[in-house]
Amino acid sequence: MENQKSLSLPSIKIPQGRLGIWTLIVGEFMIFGGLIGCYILYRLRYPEWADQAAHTSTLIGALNTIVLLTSSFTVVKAHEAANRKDLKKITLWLSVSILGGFLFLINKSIEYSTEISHGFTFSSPALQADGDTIGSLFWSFYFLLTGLHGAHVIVGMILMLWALLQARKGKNLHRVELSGMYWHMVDLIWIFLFPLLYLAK
Amino acid sequence: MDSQHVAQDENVKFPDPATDYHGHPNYLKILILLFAFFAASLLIGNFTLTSITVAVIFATAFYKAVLVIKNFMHLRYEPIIVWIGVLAAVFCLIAFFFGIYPDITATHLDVVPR
Amino acid sequence: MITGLFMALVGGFLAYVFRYNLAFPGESIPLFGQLSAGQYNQFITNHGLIMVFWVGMPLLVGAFGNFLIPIMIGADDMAFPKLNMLSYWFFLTSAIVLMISFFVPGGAFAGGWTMYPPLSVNGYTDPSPSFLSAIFYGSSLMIIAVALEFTAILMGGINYLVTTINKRAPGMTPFRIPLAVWYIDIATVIFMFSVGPLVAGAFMLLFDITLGSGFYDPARGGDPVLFQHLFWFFGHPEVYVLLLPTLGVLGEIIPVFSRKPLFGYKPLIVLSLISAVLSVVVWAHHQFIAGIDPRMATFFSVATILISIPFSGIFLSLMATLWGGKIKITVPMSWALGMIGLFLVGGFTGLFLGSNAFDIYAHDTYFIVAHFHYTLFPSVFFGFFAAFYYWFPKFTGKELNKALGYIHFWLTFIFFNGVFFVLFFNGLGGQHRRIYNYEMFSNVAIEPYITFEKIATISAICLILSQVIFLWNFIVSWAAGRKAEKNPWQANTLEWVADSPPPHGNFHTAPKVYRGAYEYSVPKASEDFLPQNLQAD
Repeated sequence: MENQKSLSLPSIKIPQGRLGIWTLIVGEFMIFGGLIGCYILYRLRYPEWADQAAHTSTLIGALNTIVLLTSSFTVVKAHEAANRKDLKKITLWLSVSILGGFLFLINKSIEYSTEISHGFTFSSPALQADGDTIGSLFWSFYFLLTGLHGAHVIVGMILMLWALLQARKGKNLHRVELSGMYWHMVDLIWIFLFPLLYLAK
Repeated sequence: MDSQHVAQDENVKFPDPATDYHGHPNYLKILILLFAFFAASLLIGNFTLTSITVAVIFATAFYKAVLVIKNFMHLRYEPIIVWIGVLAAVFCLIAFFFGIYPDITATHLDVVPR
Repeated sequence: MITGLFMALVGGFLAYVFRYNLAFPGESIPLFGQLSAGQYNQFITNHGLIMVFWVGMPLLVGAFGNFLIPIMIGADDMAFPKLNMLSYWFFLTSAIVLMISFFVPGGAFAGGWTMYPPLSVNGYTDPSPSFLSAIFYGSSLMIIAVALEFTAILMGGINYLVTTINKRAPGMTPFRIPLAVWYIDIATVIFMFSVGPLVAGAFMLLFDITLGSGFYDPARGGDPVLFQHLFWFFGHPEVYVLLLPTLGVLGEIIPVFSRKPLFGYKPLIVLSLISAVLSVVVWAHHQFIAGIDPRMATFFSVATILISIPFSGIFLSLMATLWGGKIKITVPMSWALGMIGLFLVGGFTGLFLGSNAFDIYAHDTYFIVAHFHYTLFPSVFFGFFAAFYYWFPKFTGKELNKALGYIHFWLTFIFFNGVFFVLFFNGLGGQHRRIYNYEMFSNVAIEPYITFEKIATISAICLILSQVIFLWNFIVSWAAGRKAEKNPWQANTLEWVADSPPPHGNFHTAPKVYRGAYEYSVPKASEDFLPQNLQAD
């Protein structure tokens, strides 16, 4: 039995949890990369989408960028604290990051409700009735991209909460880093979504 | 094999973060850098969009992404196999984009509303 | 694996029903009854989907990957056992969802396994359905099933890669890993890098159906060709995902039964890496008639013909391994040789199809059908059976009946050729695939094509019936077979060091690896094989 354990010696110096999360992140890159690629292709095809992009709120988008970048920073601080086994600091920094996720979602829902009240929805029937069918496709992309990203924000928050609950008891401290890496990936996708959807008008 | 060895192997499987220490860059510096680039791209976004400003905006976005991957996600401390994985993803996406580009973007489509 | 086999039976049954209909249009089909045109379309669609996603992937990548990777690299288990279990349940759920889609109103999806819009979006009578009714359309359920299946395989893939990178036995350096493990891993890498855009595309398709967005609707500024690109960006690498594990299995079996080292082990790995890189730039050869840019068609044509170079390199190495060896014909070896022979036919016809000039004529005819069955059937089923007959003693600790194995091989080989060889002629004669009844098309419903249809159908029925021999052999040998030795084939790789069947944790003592996997007939050695864990004198 003891001998079996020695089989698990890694041949490359990288813990298997981190390697697993890297493969997951690469897979997610491909999903979002494909989606963003499709968006860029259509965006270049239809310059008239600039009129629609003018309706997105740059202010809220910028706020959300600041929130996500800051929470990314607090997550690495939590990871640093995990290296020192400083349980209190881990709890503090992770809670701040989860709070950042909540702030992001609140901002996002304010933005969504404004847009929906202006008649921009997934299929935007109002725009279609006006004959602006191409413009309605912009909103399909907008809601798909931000909605999928929002789903990842929620998943990242759940992962961080899980890591937080375990880290409070001093268990599985490496999960602080792993959930943090997932959170950085969410941040990374937003870095690309922000100029694409909010700045390019 | 004695029990001490077993305990060691467990550590390898689920490494103790204290022993798995791979150095930390100055995170605050990177955060400030990120904010600076972000502010710059916001500023440029307020001008009229030309191909140059768009290029600048996306170059900053790309550089921000590189900063996050390298420092926050610690790619700079990972072995080469992870680098290969990330770069392969970028390669596949580029192949994907330029394989489709002539069919979607460069093709004119007459849209007839239903 | 059992789930995969069951799905193979379902897929085979569907094939039987529509082949019967083609040969004897309008007649009632034994065990089924009258087949309507709509049902015919549903059946060919789901035959394709099931055979590729629910049979090919789980049998070769799923089942053998999970069993072989840990034991061949000398690990006690996969890196993430819980993730593995989760992956299986996702897979089972996806199969159940697909089966449910047959029983919803409107029936299963019927627009071809490639799910192209607009058929997959607008195939229903209600122009703007509510979300709840749209989610229960056959096409929505199919997309959900496919997405679940991809998730399952992605989870499995993460597990394989991490296991291979992190859990190798001491001494198992990268270039001592057996070829089967290398190739399964490369297949998962190809899968991981190509599936993302299709997942994105599946989301878009699902929302087109359920929420009324217009990503693929030309009237809304969308473009159906985009879906074809997204689909084939994954769909073509998928072919290599199915092919590479089989080649890896051949790389194990052929050296063992020629008692010779594998010819060019490192070049084989390099070649497969080249083919992995090329596989992401060949996809649009499936769309030569979809109205894509002619300049790109030329590019993809060249890339397609280029990718045949690494694969012919792989096949030549395998055949060079045979050359001058002490060849022992056994059941797994005959499957392996059959796979090489049949795949060559598929590969050569692929060369013609790769050039877009010919492809435009042959596209969507039975020539294509015969071509991809000549590539996929050997790589999925011949590869699976070769691996199955080879590793069955290790799986169960029992021996399979040899005579039944040979009978199974020869019947499958003959009847497979009987089905698909004649279809090449039908395709060149102009018969289009996905036609319900040829009696309406008098210009192609002529001799000899009518006879060929009948030959193909009778062979298909016999092909399916001969699998009964396999099932019988499987069940009886497992229940009451002779006990197998630890290393019946006298092979080198680590799995033959473990007990048969391997206990939980695979090995009693941790193996240490001292040499590569293919040292057969080494001069001055006492035996003609040198297991990897044997210490040098």
